[in-house]
Amino acid sequence: MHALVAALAIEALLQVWRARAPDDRLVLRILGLCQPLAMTPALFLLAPQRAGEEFCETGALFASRHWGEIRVAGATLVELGVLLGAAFGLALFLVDVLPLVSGRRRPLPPAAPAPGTLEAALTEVAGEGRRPALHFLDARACTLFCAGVLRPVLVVSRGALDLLDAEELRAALAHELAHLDRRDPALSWLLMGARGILFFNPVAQVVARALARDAEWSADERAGGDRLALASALVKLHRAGQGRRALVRRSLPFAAALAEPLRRVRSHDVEARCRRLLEPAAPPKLAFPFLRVALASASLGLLTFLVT
Amino acid sequence: MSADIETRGAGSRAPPEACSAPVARAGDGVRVAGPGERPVASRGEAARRRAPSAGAIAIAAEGFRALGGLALVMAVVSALLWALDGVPTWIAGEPRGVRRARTVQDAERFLRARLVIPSYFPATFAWPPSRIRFLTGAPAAVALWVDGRQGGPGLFIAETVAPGPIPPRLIPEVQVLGRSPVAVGASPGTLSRVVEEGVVVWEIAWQQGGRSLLLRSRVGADELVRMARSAREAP
Repeated sequence: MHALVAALAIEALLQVWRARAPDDRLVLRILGLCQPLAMTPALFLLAPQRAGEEFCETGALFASRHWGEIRVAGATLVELGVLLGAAFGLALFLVDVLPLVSGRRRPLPPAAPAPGTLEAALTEVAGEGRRPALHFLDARACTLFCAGVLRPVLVVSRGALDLLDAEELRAALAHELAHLDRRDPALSWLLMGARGILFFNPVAQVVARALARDAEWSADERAGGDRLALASALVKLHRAGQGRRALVRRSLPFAAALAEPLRRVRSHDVEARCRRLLEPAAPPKLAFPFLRVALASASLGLLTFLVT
Repeated sequence: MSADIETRGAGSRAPPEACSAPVARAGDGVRVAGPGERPVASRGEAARRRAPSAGAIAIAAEGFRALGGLALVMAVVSALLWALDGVPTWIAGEPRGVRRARTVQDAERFLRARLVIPSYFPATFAWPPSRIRFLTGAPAAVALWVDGRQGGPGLFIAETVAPGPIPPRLIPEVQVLGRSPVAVGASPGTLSRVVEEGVVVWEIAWQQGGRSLLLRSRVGADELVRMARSAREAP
């Protein structure tokens, strides 16, 4: 219940504050996901009186035990809600985890010597300092993604290279580098770990998916350069990936979903990303970001306290 | 679609000077100071001088919007939670906050108090109670509905577990026909003749051990007083 309240409040705040910058959305959504995780156990320890009858009847805004008094088919509404929610959460978790598990059985094909154009484009975009390792696949399938927590690697296939023109290739590489700069592969594993712990919590599963989408948008914005070229590359890769079997199954939860064969990305997500990229500039960031996060955190804490 | 992209693309790829400040032309409000004349501020300079205050106002407005938005969201979420909390009692047809218990022992456990029950209990009543409702808070109170055997008159018992009046939410509304004082042990009480759902019944109310108690039934007044005088904490 705490996770649901926090997630709903954060989504409402995103709308009311008109938070369009992906970094703002990421921070607030992470707050909504993590606050109940930390706050709920702390409240059980520090404020045990919340569990008492008196607080439930006089102090609480919402007491789930009231719903426990209504019985349907031999079970209370609370029990039924928990059961259905857990089933939904588990289904969402498995939808994303099962492809990972099966993908682990298919190792990355051996690397081929990278063409000079690709090396040159990567050097131009990344510079020598932040250039990750390049894993070129001599295959017709279109693949372009980054991976690696400790040793970041950029995987590009000949199909992707042939599909994209020079500007699009630079934009796509810049997008992947933006992911690596933010250590999104490591973050994605952390997020998947949190999802594994909260596999029974449907709200956490939905919020985690929204976070992955925000991370994509953030990388789009951080890529800089030619926004139209990135949008064009996105559409081309998505179209090329439709209806074909992936050359390499993604091996990371959302870092791979980023630029990986965009067949894994749903069409409406691609459409939303392209619409944002068609805007002439990145959406403005929120003013007073720290103050907003602090106030939102305090308010969520109060709400959590009043929900038992 | 493609035309739209191209139009936007042309704008985004425009040379940097396209975004630079426009060059002043005649009629733009720019006046060149003559020799020995103090330069006159143009409209642009005046606007720049006003800029700090305008910026402060914009920052204040943004802060106000942020705080207002937060307050709005929290108020709406709180109202939704409060409304959601009242749904179970609404479904059950009870006043808000009235809770139900399955047994007297459950009610005692919730209220953390033993209930005062008449030890004289005519066999015409079918114990245990068919309905048990309680309220926590100040004072916590409980109401018990005991059915009569074979369609006979039932009994309504209400009491608080701490000093204070019985919350009206727990007691079915009645119309009082008449009242008279009555002694319940050492405590003064009130015996009333009331109309409940079109039926005339007897009601006795008194204080005992800091609690307020009430019995209501269609059985005779003597039986009701006798029951009241036998009331004590359940063993």
